[in-house]
Amino acid sequence: MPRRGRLRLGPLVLFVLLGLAAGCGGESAPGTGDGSPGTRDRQPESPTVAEGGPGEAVVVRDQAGREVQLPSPPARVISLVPAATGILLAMGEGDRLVGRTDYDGDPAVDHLPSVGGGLHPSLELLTSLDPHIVIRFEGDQDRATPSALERAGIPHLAVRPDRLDDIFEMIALLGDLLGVPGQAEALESELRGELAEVQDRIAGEPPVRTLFLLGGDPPWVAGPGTFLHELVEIAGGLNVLDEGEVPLYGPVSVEEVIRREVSILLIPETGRVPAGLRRLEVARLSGDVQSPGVGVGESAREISRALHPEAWR
Amino acid sequence: MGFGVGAAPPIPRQGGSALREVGAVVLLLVVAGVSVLLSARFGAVPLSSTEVISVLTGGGSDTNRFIVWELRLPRALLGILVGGGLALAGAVFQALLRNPLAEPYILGISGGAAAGAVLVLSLGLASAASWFLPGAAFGGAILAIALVFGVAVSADRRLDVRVLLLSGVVVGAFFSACIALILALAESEVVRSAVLWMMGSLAGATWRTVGIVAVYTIPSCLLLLTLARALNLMSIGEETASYLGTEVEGVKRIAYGVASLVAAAGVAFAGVIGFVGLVIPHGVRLIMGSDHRILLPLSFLAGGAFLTLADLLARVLLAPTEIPIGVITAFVGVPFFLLLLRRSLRA
Amino acid sequence: MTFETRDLSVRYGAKGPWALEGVSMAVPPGEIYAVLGPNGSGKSTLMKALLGTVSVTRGEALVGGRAVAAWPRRELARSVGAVSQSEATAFPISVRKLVEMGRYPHLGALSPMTPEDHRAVDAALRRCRVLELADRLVDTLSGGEFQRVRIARALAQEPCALVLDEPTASLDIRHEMGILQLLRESARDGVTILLVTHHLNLAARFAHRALLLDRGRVAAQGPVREVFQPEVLEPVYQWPLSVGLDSVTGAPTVTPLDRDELP
Repeated sequence: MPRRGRLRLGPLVLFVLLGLAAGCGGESAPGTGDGSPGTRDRQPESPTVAEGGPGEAVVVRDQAGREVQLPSPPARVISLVPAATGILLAMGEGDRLVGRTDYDGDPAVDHLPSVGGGLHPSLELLTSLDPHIVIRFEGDQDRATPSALERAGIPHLAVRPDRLDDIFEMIALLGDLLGVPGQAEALESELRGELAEVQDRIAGEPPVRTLFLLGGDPPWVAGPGTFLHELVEIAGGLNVLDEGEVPLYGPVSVEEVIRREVSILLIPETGRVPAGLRRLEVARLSGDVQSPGVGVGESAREISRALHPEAWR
Repeated sequence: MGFGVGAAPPIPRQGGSALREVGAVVLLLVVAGVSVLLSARFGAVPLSSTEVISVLTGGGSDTNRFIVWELRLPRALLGILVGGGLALAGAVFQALLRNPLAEPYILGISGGAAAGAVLVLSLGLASAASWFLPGAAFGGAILAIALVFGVAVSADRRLDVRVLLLSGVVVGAFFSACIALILALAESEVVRSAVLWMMGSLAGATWRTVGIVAVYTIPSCLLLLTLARALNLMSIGEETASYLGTEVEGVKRIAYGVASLVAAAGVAFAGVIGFVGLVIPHGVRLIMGSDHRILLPLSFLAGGAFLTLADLLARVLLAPTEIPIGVITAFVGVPFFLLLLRRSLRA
Repeated sequence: MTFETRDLSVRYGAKGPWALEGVSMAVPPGEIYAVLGPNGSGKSTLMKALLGTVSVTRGEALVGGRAVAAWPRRELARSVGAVSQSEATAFPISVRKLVEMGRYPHLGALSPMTPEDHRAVDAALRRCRVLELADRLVDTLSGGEFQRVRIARALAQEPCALVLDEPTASLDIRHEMGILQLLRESARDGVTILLVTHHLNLAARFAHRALLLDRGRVAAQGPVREVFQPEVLEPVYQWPLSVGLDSVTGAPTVTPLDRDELP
């Protein structure tokens, strides 16, 4: 029977090569733009420059290590991170906000139009609101948003409040961005004061073995890399999870939790206690405890009251 | 050869059928064009027709221009390419596998692509370069194809249909297990990203992605169009196809390879959008018959229009939230298909 | 168009049993040539070897003096029309569209059908008495109707030779005789007909020559009268037979006799 050669491989290889060639040309990390002209006037050299409000030029380094430049502090801000929104409001700069997300529960921003979720917001609404800057959560999850913002010539600022230091850094960063470093410092002092007050309250008490559980089965917990871990320690608890096992938020087995001899289990009101842990003593905390923003002082107090009730009477 | 060809007068053919075919192509071209225009007109931000027309003709405000030219139009065109490619590839697979339930993902492509994408997401590399994620998804899809054909060829040199189908099921299951393993060990962010990716979306479309997908899809579809008669024969049976002049093994290799490439390109940039590749060819067949010379181009146009319109609904129905596009294709496609089926059974 | 094999041997797989062993035969042009034999004697394998769908392990299979493997498929399909034992369509298709496929070997990938092509299709439909079924869907046909449509498709190829494997299996007397008379007319017009069949008496009546296969080997070959002898047929079919001459047609008639002990 007449035989053909190995036809299939040839065209496949050709197509794969073509595609790689097309895909590799030019575009690398976000933040440098992909070369296609945005619809606004842009100087090709400086990546993220746009119009702003009155004041001096702004140059900051965001929490992804990128440099963000504005000619003046932004008068129109959209924050896709509820914790950052809270900080803006606490600094008294809520007037600058021109949009919110569905997850911004603060009544102060209710009147603003929503762009959808903090991740995968509606790009059309986001760009149509004409912000001078967009504050977004640093991470891999939503690549479409930074890409679209760059094509539109809208600067964006990445924040990543994993630990308490990150939160304070975020406050300072936002203060510098808005040209109100004094208000940022004041807010930071206030929060540090609240945390110190909690520490003083329970000074001398032996730490209570505890674990912050987010829910699920096997349960997801807050590891040593999180601000929740730090709040627990400030509040007089001992996170039974050692350094390194669960860096941020991850699952552990029920058996492991039992083995670690937890005295009190901390869990937010929306979390479900897995069946194997029901016999442990559980303290229910409000959902706000998980917010890495201006509420950390109040969160520390709440956790402390759960762990050392006698100290708070 | 003595059949008295000239003896009897030729029966006048139903002269309408060629006209009907051309008419169908023109109609679907118009529908596809209208879908693109509707996608430009409607979206989360309300723009009036006047504003959209002014943007399309070179004017309009900067914001509006950005929304229409950089956000809506690339999505619409990606929808045409991906929807069209999936539908055409679906028709090709149905012919080659002689199975009405065949669709572009039947040979493990979606599993391989998802595994590649989930791997990149779990390693946190998706933001490192814009081509990592689609490149990994594409690579995973090609790997799946290679595995499926490798298994099938080692079992039976001639790419037996039944062996291919089983091989596709096995390879698909293998990749599903890989995905489950990665997700079990991953952070919650990764799991959410992975699930969203696997549900399919045209959200990240840029002119660049449209260009890349076009480079893969358009030449491939044109090549498959030239195989239309061979596919007619293959869907009758390989033995008969061979007797009627088809180089069966060569056709299989080219058709499987190129159709898989189209599906892989679609999955790499739009995630796993099911249902289009299965239902659109059937819908076209019910109305226009099984001749692939008309089935393939009509499937492309119908699939493209369908996906673009589905994306429009996905963006608009619950704005600013976007419904995953696979949900729309299923909810709209199933009743539409049932309607067509009832009509054809009654006729 | 001639068919010829020289010492043809075919086995499936490297260690399987031999389906054909050392078969040498020649089909002269313009004749009806019957291939006979009990189940498993290699009749279908011989047909497939001559059509190039099965590879030759040893020896040669020649069509028109050329090795089958050397024929490009389309060229072969323009000269030889084949009807296999059965086929099944996966998707609905009309009779006309199915028969039009017979013209594909004459068409390029993209060229449309010409009026000559349509005439050939209509003529084929008419000769097989399925013209009135032209717009019906193939899966609504009876077994016999479908068979005639498939034969029409082979005729639409306007071939120089026809190779048919059990073409009248599901046909009633009227349609069976119609097809065989059609084949006889075609042979008179110069088309070589290779017919694989179980139906001994029809083969005896319509074929000029016959080949009798027994477990992959040639048991007898030659003009029908020579092959249809009890001493030739009985050892192959392993059943007592009586061979007479039909009083009306003059063709040999084979009658199996009763037998007390079954083998």
